Amino acid sequence: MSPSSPEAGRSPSTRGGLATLGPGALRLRATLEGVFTGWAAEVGADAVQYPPLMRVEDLHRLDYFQNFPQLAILGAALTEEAAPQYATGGPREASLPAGHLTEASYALPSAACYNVYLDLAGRTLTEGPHKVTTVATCFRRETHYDALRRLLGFSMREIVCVGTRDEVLAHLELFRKKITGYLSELGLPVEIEAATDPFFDASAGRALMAQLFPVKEEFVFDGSLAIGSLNFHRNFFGERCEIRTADGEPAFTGCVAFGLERWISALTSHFGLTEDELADRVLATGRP
Amino acid sequence: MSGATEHKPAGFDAVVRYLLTKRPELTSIDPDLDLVENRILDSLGFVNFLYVLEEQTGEEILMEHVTPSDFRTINSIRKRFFHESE
Repeated sequence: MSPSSPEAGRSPSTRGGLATLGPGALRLRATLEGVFTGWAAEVGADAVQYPPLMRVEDLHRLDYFQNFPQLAILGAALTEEAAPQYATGGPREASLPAGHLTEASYALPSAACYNVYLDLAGRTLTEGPHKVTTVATCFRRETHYDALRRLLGFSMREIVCVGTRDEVLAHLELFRKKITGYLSELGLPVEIEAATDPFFDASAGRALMAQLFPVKEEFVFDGSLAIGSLNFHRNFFGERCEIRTADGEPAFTGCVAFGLERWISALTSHFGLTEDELADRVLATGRP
Repeated sequence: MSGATEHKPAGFDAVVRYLLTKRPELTSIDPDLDLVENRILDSLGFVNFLYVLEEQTGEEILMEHVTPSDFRTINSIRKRFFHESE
């Protein structure tokens, strides 16, 4: 990139939860990706790219619409009946009416790791834990969007472990240490918070829930921005996708997830440096 | 675990029946099975489970007076909330 190129100095911009990143932000993102994929390689995770759309029938298998009906964004086409109107310069509204659309059998992914479990469906893991890393553009319909902090479409890097309960918990614990150590060296202040369901007001109840059902821990910057998370799904995906460990039991799964635009947002707002300077700082961190 | 079945109070059976409705594919639950790890109890259903437990024991459950292990297995639930030994 030439310093005088027209795009060089642009800051990320967002509109309606959709972001445009210029060369600086992209270099920072690629540098962060280098760190995360380096960690993935260290634990023996294979890099895989999955399809950009998910099948609705596959998501049913994971109770997706039961658990997250509000987040889903579906893909549909124009019906054969409606298409000719558009081809001849018909309606030009900002949204197309549902009556003009086909039934939706595809959905935009809302997390990168669902495809890992669907791809492993029916398998028995005879050679120890199966680790995969993947990155996906994920989509979530939210009630509001907030610059790079909360986007409709965003990039999620995940490092997933499928194996026995102990193997998965060891994977999550290892990354808890790796990420904490890295952030500390980088100088980005982050709290680890247990995410719980908001049913209890009393702190005793929340504490009990967090101990009984540890499912998610988040790395939270500035009190509200989760830039990464550790997720333990128990054997839910193993059961639903019939993935078994060598002993024939449903596999346990867990994943480490990084929201790449959120990292850019947190780094930029905390250090007040340019993206290029931040990329250099990220590169220098963690080196002996 | 044996010999305790004839002494089970009615409320305890109702609690076990309630847990069984969470996993219709099961016909019984091993009394030492970890209810959390096997997702018979999950975070979404836990509040309702507390309600069932309070209804069947006739006692309010104060969060300050319980620990995670009280809810782990059918045996631990019986011991803690129905005042029976294993």
